Amino acid sequence: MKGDKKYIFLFLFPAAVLMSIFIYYPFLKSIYLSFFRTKGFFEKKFVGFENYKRMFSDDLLGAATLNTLEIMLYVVIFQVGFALVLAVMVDSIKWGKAFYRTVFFFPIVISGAAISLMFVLIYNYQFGLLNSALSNFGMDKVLWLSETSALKAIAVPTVWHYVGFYFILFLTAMSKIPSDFYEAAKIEGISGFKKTVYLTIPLIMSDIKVVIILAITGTLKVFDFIWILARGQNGTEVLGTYMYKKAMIDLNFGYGSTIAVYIVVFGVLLSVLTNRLLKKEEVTY
Amino acid sequence: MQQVNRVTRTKKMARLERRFGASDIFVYICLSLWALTTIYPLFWVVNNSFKVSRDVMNNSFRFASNPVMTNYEKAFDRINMGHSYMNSLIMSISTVLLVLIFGGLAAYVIARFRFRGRNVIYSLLVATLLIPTFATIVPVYELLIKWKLVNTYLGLILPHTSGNLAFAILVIAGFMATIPKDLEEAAFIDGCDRYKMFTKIFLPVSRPVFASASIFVFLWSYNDLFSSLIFVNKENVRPIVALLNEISSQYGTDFGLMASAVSLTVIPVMVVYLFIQRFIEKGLTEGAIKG
Amino acid sequence: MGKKSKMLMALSLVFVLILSACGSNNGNKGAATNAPKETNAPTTEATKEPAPEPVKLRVFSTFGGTDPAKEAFEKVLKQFTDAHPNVTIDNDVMSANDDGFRTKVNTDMNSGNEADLTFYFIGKDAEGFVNAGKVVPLNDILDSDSAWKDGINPAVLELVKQPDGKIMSIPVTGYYEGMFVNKKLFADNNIELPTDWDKLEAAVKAFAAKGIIPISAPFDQSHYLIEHSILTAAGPESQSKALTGDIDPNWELGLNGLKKLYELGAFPKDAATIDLGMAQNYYYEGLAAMLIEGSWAIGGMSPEVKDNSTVIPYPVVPGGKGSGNDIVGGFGSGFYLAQKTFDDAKKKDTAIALLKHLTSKTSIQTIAQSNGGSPAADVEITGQPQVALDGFAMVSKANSISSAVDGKMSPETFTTIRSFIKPIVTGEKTAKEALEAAKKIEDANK
Repeated sequence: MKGDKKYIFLFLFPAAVLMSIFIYYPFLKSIYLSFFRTKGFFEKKFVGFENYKRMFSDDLLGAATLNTLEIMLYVVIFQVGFALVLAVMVDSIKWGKAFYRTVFFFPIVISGAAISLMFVLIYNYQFGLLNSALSNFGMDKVLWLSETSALKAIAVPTVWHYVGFYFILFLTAMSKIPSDFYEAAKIEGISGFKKTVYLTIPLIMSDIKVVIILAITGTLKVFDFIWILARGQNGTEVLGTYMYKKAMIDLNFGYGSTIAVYIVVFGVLLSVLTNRLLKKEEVTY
Repeated sequence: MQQVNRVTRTKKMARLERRFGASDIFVYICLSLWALTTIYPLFWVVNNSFKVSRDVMNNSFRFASNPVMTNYEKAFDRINMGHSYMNSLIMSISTVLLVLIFGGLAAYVIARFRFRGRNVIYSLLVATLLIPTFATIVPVYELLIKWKLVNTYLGLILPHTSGNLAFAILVIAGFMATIPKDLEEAAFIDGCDRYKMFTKIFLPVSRPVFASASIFVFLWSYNDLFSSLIFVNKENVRPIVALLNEISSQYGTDFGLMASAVSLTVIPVMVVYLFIQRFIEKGLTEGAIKG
Repeated sequence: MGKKSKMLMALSLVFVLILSACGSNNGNKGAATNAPKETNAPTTEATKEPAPEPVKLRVFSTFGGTDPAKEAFEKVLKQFTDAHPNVTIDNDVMSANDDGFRTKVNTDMNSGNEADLTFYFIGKDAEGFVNAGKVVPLNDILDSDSAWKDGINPAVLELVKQPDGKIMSIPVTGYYEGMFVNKKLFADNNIELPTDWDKLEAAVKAFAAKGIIPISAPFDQSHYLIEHSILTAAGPESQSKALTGDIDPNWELGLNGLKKLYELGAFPKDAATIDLGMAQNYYYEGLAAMLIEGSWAIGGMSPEVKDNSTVIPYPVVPGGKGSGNDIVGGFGSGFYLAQKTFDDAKKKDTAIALLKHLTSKTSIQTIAQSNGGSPAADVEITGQPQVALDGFAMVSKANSISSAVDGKMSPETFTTIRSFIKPIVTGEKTAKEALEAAKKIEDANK
């Protein structure tokens, strides 16, 4: 449309200014720090690409990346998957919609720390809920957070906690589908599963893409559950906890920033890849 | 009488059965099972808020049949609880409004305009989602000190608004991207310019997504402890999370206090959510889409 | 054009509304908090007037929230403002456990927003702002007021001295660490208290056989395991050198002691994933016989557990250099006086007076009484449980008291050692590898 340039500039301007001041400028400072060996808050020494060299030979970072990818797989399949299924179900029912919409939202309002504590007490070896149940049945206690199972055990609350978040986003997206679309489908005899696959999903494809990108970026920052349930031990270290250790505990801001840069680049690559994979599916109607 | 009752009841049952096929029953069973998993934790937290820390640790799944009020007494001992709720609401609601206005405008551009650099902006937004708070907090705090905004409402509102914009823009743009083109074209023929198109078409049609985005922005702003502790940690501006953290975080966590703190934090979010939920409902937007 | 400006107006209106809403709400109360900065301006006038000018001081400390000494500290502050009605104190508090604690203090120091008095860690943590000259060496002030100086235990001042002899901060209460043992569990099972390594091994074996956790400790937050292993195996002298020179093989010996204990079944099955809180809980609930912790752990014990507990030094691993009576302890935090305040003629004397008041004998007693820490002055603390008295006795009988080794190396170095504890005890890595990796980090941090 003519005169678009003016609007593009005008509409983007306020957001751009705020984000530049409070996010991009500070983050550029962090990137700058990644070329230094920092010692607390006051001393730093220029080391060139030393931190980046360290990053590429850091076994712990490699392991954390793999663990993060594993959790990401669970998140994209189960978290997004459950959310979509639940949203389709709730969208299809006649009464009780408001009830389910409300209760499915509950977990999100409870802080990650409190949910983590609950799962600490479910998984605890000595007196946790699961092991108490097992010993009531006369069975041996199980070490739920062992080296082989800890990551999967923690993936359960991680996935479950935010299903409601994507559920609401999907439901929101579905609300824009005009009801005459569904009526038309009904006349054509398309219903149930078919309706979902051929009508609903294509119509909210751009929202699904956003959700998957949010899921991917969210997983790269996963922290609470891992930190509180296993402290990154027993093969549960992920990028979020590793960065936290380096930056907030070790106060090595130089290397911490390097990891932050790594996470941002890695996340952007993943989401560009996702976008490419989903591109052909986009429908405008 | 009884006879009649029974007859009407069987009639009702028959009608119900007709209305709910086997697939409906299956759907309701699935939804209810999931609902159990989401209701229980809230009950768990509230239940444990009536126990002393030791019982939370060792008997958290038992019903608090002898509720203790000590946690709430400790929490309400802080005379300015109400004031902190006010602070939280002022800062979080301002954040939500700013995010919706600025984010909405930006999202409209990204969803409906074709221009060079659009993909770059999109990638930049995704990157923004990934920037950790620790990597920005020190420079932001330095700026706030320089501008004398530490311990003022703006000192939290501005960083929070900026921090939530990327999320809001992506979600709102995702929603706007698939709004039917004919709406836009009709408006264009009617002589609307881009600004009118935004306020007359996209804003009303996108109400559900604005509502959803606002609840999450509110939630994150309201729950963000880290920035609050550093930017606004004085009584007159301190938000409720920071206040509750103060009573529950020191010298070995007091889990009973933590549970009561979480319960007290959750209430306003639930109220806001119930309020906003009405806007997510389909009926409200139906008219806009058709018109 | 008209539409555009209308839109802009609407936008700016909303913006202004929000701004003004915040501004007005803030104005009246904000005045109180921002005041310390404003008081800098009329310095010249202050010197002319004989009557005490109003002075506002900001004190930043950890005595807030649920800190046991919160009320005591507020009382001490009130005593001062009662005696000096012209002084207003802005009592700024934050928990040291919070993520942002170090960030806030250091950024404040770095950006000219420092409090007049700051209660903060002593040692490595404060090195940054101490070296940057943000705080004042207190030696001269101490020397010029012998009544105040003599109130503080001389040994304490010795402990907080910098390598160059400067005293940068004045502590109030201190801590010690040791092995808490549940006497009742030992007596019930006919096991001797672990006063030396052989008895410790015997006790571990006996408890493990009975299904009681012998020593409750986590592997990730293994601070106290490491601190004790290194101190007792290498002795106080090598401990204080930390990793500055070559690696002392006795450090390796100490860490291998943990491996030995692990093989005997000393630690909880889930030691890898629990945190310190859960480790304490196992001990508090009688599931574990021993707990390696600091004096603050007493606060969480139920009266019954307090009665059943005592605390003893961690035994020396065979071949170790320690005397068997070396303990970890010291004064972890103290009050710093900002250089900016010291240079401000108007605030200088008041701030110094407040510092003296906060670290006076009676104030130290008031605070120590409420948090159960060992006082930095020679005062009597009453009403403490037996286990706390046992702790004080252990400290007074100790051959040597060394501050924890993690304060003597960079945080990253210590985390590296911690991250190796689990691999060491399970045999995946050796103690030598751990110390070499740590040394590498320490050298890179120089």
